Amino acid sequence: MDELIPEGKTRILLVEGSDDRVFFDRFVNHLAETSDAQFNVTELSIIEYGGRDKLTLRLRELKKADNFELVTHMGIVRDSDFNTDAFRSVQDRIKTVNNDGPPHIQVPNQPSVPSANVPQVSVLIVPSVEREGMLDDLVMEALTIDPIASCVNEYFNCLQSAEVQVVPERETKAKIRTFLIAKNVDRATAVSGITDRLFLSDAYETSLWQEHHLWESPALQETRDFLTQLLD
Amino acid sequence: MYKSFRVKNFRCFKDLQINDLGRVNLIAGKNNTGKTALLEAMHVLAGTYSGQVLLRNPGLRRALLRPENESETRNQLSWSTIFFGLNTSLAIELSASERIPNRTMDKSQSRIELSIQSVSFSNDTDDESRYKSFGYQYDVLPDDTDILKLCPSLDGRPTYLALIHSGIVYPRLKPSRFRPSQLLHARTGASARDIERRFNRIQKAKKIDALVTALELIEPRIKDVRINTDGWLSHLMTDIGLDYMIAMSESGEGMNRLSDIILAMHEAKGGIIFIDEIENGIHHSVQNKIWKTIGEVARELDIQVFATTHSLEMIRAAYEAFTEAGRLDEFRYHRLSESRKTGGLRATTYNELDLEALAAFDFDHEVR
Repeated sequence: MDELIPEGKTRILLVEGSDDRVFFDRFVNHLAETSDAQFNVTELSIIEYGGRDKLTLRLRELKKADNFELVTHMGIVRDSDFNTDAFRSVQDRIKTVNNDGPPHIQVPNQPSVPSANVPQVSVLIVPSVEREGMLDDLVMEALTIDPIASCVNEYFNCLQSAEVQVVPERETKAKIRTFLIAKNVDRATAVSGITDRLFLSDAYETSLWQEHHLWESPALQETRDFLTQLLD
Repeated sequence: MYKSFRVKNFRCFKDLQINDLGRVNLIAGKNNTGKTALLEAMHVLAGTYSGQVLLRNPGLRRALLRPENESETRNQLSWSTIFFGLNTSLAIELSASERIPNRTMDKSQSRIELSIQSVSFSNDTDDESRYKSFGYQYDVLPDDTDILKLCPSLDGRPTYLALIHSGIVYPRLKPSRFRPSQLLHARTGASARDIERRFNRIQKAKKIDALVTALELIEPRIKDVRINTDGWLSHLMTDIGLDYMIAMSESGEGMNRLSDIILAMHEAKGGIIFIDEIENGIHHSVQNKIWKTIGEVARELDIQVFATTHSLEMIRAAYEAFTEAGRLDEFRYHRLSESRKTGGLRATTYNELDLEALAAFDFDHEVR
């Protein structure tokens, strides 16, 4: 069995799924490459927990994992979804696994603010505590610094007026995909590669983000601060 | 039934505590994390009234009769191989809390302890009386004889074992009646004598059908099992619908392994069975059913089971079998590992909730 927390990994970032894992992996690498500060990227392990319903299970598994006793920082990223109380939901899940017995995981008092004791625990709600949605919404917001984003939004407004039904939960993903196709329309192979896939993570596999400095978007400031705390 | 167990200064364990033991316990861990040594330690404690278990255990016996330094002779044999870090100055301490069934709450817990010390006659001030208590004439044992003193908590009287050039002597051992217990080794099957004794027991109890039913999991054609006592070694014979019965030893390793397990469980009624590397010879397609059978027999005979494994498939199969049987509360998975913080070995126990968490991620991990 592979180790859940590999040796030498003292910082853990828990994310919902594979898209999130790729996004945060790229973001962390970007921070390490562009920042003057020394980030402990090699100490970080990004672990999927499979969506909000499995967070309790993953936390329970983590508590029992080898090397958990050496963890100094732990970040948890959760989509707000349609729940404006997503942060409290994460707090409740930590409390639930703490009821099993030691070791206890610190329960942070506020979103994006680490708990006082080691291991420091911090929770990031995306797109934000105040807004319903998911990581895709945050990404779409970051993409607005590119002019194509407004074309995409107009296109979807046009679809709406033409009474084309777009499933609300899939709309942002569809917009990002449309954005990627538009962005790569002059690259036949890239278009083929992207259209064969459906996932947001494909966006970070392209050079799109580096080219356009999208990681520096103001929309990602809170995420940037969260990762900085986790790695600093 | 053990509820918790602690071992100090034994083999690779400086100090290991294992809690929340269930009726059926599966112990896993990387190589050299002490899985077999843990079974040995529990097995020794189960026979706490005497040192017989210590001697009956082939693994321990081999360790004791092997000189520390291969160039040394048997005259220089030492008990040190069973002490942590070969350091005989600290006593081996084995202890367990037990739950006693059918007792009121305040009397349902008890504690048993066994201290094992290496003592030297030459340094003892009362050599003569010690020799006498040991049951030997004063001049029989050489001065440098290594003596092992076992002090059980239950009757308080120590037992002495001595290592001499011809092996181990133990003049005053009482039969071990503290707890029926059986240890099945990873590599060696049961001896012909053990098989005969166990089969006779299962025959008297009219439980041969239970053995046949279990063996059907591996050999669907099996109809009957008998023992052949002709010749100088007794052995089991199986009826698989041919015109003649064939020796069990002609069957595959899985048949013999499962037969050993079922026979040993029936002999350990009301006690404990230890199975080292339970997956040996067992194909993955029948592991689930074998766990269900072990669970049922353990429940019926009130046996506590401790098994070790290297197999992730075996862990999954056990979880699924006990879940499907609605008995996950009886099952515990214990993982032995080295603590990066302390450097010592430790046990991590997974109860129902923890196992459900492991199963949610298919007992595997997605990591960066």
